[in-house]
Amino acid sequence: MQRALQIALTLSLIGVFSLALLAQFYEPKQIPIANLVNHKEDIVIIQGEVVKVTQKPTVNFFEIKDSTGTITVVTFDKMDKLDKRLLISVKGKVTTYKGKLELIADRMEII
Amino acid sequence: MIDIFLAILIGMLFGTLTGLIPGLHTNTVALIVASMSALLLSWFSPLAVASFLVAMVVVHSFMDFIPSIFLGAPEDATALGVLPGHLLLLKGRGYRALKLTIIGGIGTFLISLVIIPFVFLWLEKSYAIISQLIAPILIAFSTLFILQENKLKKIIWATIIFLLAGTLGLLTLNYVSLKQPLFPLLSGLFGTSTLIISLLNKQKIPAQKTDDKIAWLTKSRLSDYAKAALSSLFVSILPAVGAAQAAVISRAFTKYKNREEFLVVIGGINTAVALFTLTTLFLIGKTRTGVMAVLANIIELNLHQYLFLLAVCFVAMAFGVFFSLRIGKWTAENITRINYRKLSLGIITFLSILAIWFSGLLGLYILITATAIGMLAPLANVKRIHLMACLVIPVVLYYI
Repeated sequence: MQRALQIALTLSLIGVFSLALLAQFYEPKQIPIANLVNHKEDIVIIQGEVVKVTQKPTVNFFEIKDSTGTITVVTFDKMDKLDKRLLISVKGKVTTYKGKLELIADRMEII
Repeated sequence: MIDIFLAILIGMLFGTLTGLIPGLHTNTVALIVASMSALLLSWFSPLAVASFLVAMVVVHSFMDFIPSIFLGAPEDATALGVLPGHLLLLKGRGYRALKLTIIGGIGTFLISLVIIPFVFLWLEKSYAIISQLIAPILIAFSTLFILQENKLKKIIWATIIFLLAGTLGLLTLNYVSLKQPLFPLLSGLFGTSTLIISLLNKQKIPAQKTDDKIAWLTKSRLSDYAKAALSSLFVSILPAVGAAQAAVISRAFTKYKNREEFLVVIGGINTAVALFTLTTLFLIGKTRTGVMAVLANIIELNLHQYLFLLAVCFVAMAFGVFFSLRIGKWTAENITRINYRKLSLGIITFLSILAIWFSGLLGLYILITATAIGMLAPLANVKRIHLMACLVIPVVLYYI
């Protein structure tokens, strides 16, 4: 059993570290907003213009618009004031809230 | 009205199938329902589709202990019940283990019905406060569980396992895109790892006794039902917390006298979560499971419809109890005729194929890594509860 423990620990460490490495280089696909409906629970990237901003102490909401549609982006990270009309790229998870699609942002960059 | 009866019946049959087939979850069926909702709603009323979903979830909550106890192939909700159930199976008491989870389901269901009116008075006001407490509670109790390992060597192993499982959970759920990330993660940590350990130990399943009588209306049982109901209520209102975490929190708040008590509580939680997630949806409009998210998209519940769905839960509970006892008894009586080694290998293969089917080759990779981590706990002789870090760490990071 001691040998089985060593093998299991080695496999666990290799598995977790290589997955962490993979996650570093893993870049999800960029998806047009209208197609996000087919990507529920997926991690995706969207690009578009900020058309509405609601910033609260614990949560921020942005409406992002591209040529195909609009979606609400939610982030719980504290951030500086974001202006409308900025072009941004957002990486995050597509979820549903009260029947509407939302993107829970993991990373946002001004482009 | 006929469409509703038909929907309830089909829902109960689907709940039986999703419960008995390892890896098939009610959320998967709910997603299919969501994708076909336009077609379904042209045949059935929204209340009928909602009844289908609710009946399926309740029956599933009774049936899914059968594969987890007899085959060691759990789902998220039953993951923590695998080891106590499996240990009773090895003592020829697998059917008793199943009965304990069923008793837990019935008792907790009935106690939950008593609690629900109080939930109506209390939920909206308390929601904000409770959601702020979840991260500190989970951190505190995870630390406590590790320190409960009584020797330094075991504490070190528990910490290693906690960190490995937590990192794997975090990477799987938050950093790589998978269709069904929980499937390979939990199947590996709690299912295939248990089966491989059984194969390594060359365990033989003894003949099972099926004539045990279990008292279900004793003082201690009533306390078990209450524990399960309150744990289910607590976690049913919190985002990103499901039945598995309910078991973790229940373990944190209470100390179980023995594994039988634990099976009663986990059986109770599994059923009561279905009831309370429906109540949470009705009261504060929050969906806590994939099934409830689909239900919320199909119907906006009024009080009459909510009460009707509670009645559907009751009917489904009766069906679930009756048929899980029948199927469980048949399984217990016939399990020694089965070549358990071949069966275990078959289930490992089946779970691997499902991991590829649901989540691709990356899913298989996560299944293998999770299996290795899942084997560490029994091999290092520490408790498996530390493996729940795979959900605890992502939940804690979500809240802080």
